[in-house]
Amino acid sequence: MSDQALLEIRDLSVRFSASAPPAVRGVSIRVEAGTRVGIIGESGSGKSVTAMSVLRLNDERIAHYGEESSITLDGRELLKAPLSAIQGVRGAQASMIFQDPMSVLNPVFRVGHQVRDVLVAHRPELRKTAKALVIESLDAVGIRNPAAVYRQYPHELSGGMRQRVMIAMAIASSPRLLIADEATSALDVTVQAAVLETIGALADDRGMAVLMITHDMGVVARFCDYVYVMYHGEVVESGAAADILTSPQHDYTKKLLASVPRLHGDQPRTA
Amino acid sequence: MKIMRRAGIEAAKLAVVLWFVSVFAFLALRLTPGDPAVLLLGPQAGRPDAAETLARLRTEMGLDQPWPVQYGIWLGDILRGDFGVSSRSGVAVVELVAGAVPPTLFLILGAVLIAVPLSIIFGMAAAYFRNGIVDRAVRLVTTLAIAIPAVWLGLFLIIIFSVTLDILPSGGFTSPFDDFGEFFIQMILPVTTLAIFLGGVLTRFVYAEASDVLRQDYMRTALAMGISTPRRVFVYAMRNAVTPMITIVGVQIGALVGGAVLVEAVFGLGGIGQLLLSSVLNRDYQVVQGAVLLTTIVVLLVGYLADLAYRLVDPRITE
Repeated sequence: MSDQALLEIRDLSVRFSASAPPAVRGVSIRVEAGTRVGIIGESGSGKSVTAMSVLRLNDERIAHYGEESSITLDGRELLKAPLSAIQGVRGAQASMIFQDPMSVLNPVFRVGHQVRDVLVAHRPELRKTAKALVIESLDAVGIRNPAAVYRQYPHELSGGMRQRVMIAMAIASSPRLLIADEATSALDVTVQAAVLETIGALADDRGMAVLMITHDMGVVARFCDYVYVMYHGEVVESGAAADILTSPQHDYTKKLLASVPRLHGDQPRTA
Repeated sequence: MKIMRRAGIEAAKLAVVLWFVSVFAFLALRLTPGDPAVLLLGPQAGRPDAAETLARLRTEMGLDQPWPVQYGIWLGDILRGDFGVSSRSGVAVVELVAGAVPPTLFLILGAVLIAVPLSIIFGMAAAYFRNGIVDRAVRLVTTLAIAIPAVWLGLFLIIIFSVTLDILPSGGFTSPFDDFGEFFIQMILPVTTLAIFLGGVLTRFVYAEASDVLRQDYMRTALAMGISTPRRVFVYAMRNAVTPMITIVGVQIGALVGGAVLVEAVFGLGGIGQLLLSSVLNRDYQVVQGAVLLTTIVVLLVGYLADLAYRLVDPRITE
């Protein structure tokens, strides 16, 4: 491990109201360049709030970050930067993709134009050749007949296709970090596996790091090198994915593992 | 094939609506007190020897026939394209209505052209700066705009701008093709009056739509991808928030005609509203029936056009 990771979250605390307990408490997470890191936890564990904090996507009229908290991307402090500066980071150096492929794309614009918009927002000089580049990236995320899909509207595509379009959007200006927040959770298992494979291949090709937020141990097992387990707003355990999966230390991790449905009844339901 | 079938169904629905309206227009006046013959004869109708004259007038106007017969004759004439003549002036109904269309049309058009862009800007801004000063101001102003009666507002504007300040005329209508400057100056107050009401309704609508749209996942996606704020609000969100407005404007045309009637009366524009009002007061059956039916046709057609336009703009609605 180098001294300075690509993404370094240090002692992150997020509070949504002065009276309620913080949603995230003292979370520290490192993502080295080109690696695949997972955050696993149930809903309400603070994993999404943590991920959203990186791109400052929490509604900051109600979300407050702790004084001592710090998030750096490539050595650049994000939490204390003005939001106007963050806009140039979003979608350019770090991108984020979300769950629910039904609603993540704007329903009244052609999907190609939406991807093109992201590219042009960060690389205005590419305006002239943008269409060809977008069709290339649609192809890269595994969309067949990308030139035709370019002109289609989100409702004309399947859930898996829409998710691929969003990935194309996220990688359009070659970010060094992709944050995937339950990005495959709403897809059925076969599509989920295919989309994960696409993300993995893209990450390897481009040396892009992936921070995978999930509640699904299966995704961690298939995708991640390193994993953080979050529970009640805190990181309770972290380690190489293989180690966590085979010898979990924390009770909560054991329960999470036990909750994975198994095909063979001879395995114990609880660890 | 499918489109032909659909057009056929729509035409049938249109026919049913028009038939209902025709029955209603026919009965509405006959069920209210007031005898057209007496009103036509004026003060003379009070004389003792007037009974014979009144009877002759009724026969001339066909009012001595039973209602179903009267209705049948009227409907038959209309189906042949004959809307009859005014019992008061003897002028053809179609001619009267056609003459009254321009003031009403320009009044409504002006109000729509002013209210639509303003309501989009203020509705979007208020929704984006939710609970901020802009939001509070917009909510207060739109509440007032919707609550204040158009007649009262019109009179209020006349008192300020025509009486006290004496900078704008209090009424009248000049065709824009004769003297555009005069037309423009005369239309300022009536159009403002109607636009304030329409703007209030539409701003509320855009505000509600935009508040919903801004919370949608695709707006978060655009934020996460680094799309600039103006582009997110005025392109990504606006297209979604404003598209349903086409239908609302189409539907509101009916209400606007109703509002226009009152505004016309206040400013003496001489449009459809005033024609209807004076014809009702005179119990000029043919004119009222004809004007109501013709206005209904126009309002329904505008509604259909709005529907069509919506289909063109929203890609999710296709046949």
